[in-house]
Amino acid sequence: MKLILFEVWSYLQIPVAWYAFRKFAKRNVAGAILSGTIVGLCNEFITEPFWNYHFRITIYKDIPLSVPFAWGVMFALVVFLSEKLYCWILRKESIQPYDKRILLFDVVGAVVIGLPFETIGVKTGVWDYNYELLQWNWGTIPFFHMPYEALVGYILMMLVAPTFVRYWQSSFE
Amino acid sequence: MTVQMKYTILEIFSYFFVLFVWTIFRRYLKRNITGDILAGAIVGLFLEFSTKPVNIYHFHITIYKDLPLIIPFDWGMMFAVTVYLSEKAYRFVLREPCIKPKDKRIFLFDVIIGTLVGFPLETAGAWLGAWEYNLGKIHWTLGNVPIFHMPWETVIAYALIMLVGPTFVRYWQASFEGRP
Repeated sequence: MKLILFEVWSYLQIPVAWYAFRKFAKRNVAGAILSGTIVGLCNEFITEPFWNYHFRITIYKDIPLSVPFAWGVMFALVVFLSEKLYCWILRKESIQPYDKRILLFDVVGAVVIGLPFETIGVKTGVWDYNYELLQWNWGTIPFFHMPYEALVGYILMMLVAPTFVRYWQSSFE
Repeated sequence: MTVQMKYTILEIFSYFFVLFVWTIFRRYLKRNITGDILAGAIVGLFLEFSTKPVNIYHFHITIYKDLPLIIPFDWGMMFAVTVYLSEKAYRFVLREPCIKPKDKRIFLFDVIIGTLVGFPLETAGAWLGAWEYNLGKIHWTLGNVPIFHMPWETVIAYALIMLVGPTFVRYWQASFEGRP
């Protein structure tokens, strides 16, 4: 029952996030979600053996249909937060094109948004790690009790993916 | 030749191969691909770290478990070649002087060219024994590609990676070379 509710929410969060951005941040994140979904699809396919999902509607093995879209929502959040932090800390009106400092703020997004999302997903049992295959051995992050490897994975992903989302978001709208 | 010697030769070759491709581009195509390789290496590092248990490597110089230092740079080289050929194909097929910014048709060329470049290199690496797939544990079930005898999952993975990676490379290539 709990998993069914989470699965329903995993679909509902997409319009909810879109609407919340539209209403409170005056920002259309449809393109960010769509382009982020492409990255999410890629990430989920190549890492499929490492996680076991427990949702019902799936697209390939146990990968749920909603998970790539959940990545899209997360990337929209990371891009938004990263750009806000960039403008606030560097006292800029907008991001300067090709400014490599944005990569640093994207990584902050991995820590602030990605890791808590991942933690919630694991702790609620939406997915679990295939530890036998992963052979992670760096220990766990204090407070979160999550493997350090998950954090490093998020950091590396957030180095790459937000550039894709930022570049294509307007085109996908 | 012992197996260890073969791995050593392959490892040395994999470093020289990146330099060789860089030189070919510089000398014959008048193109500096340093930025492409560096940007592509970041994507490669992400891919390799994320999918580490899929492959078992046999090289000596490693950065994380058995992941060789050179592999992310090999990805960088592969992305550089893909970006170059994809743009050539785009311009040739669409009769455009250059890539239009945000033109989604570039995805098609990136995926086709990227897979055509990446998949044979992946096949060569696996056949030569530079790495092997952890097939007993990753449970790939889509079968093998005829002739290549490689899992279909690798083809699909390349197509998806080439959908995403080249954008990062194209965006940051000049910046990583210190160009405006």
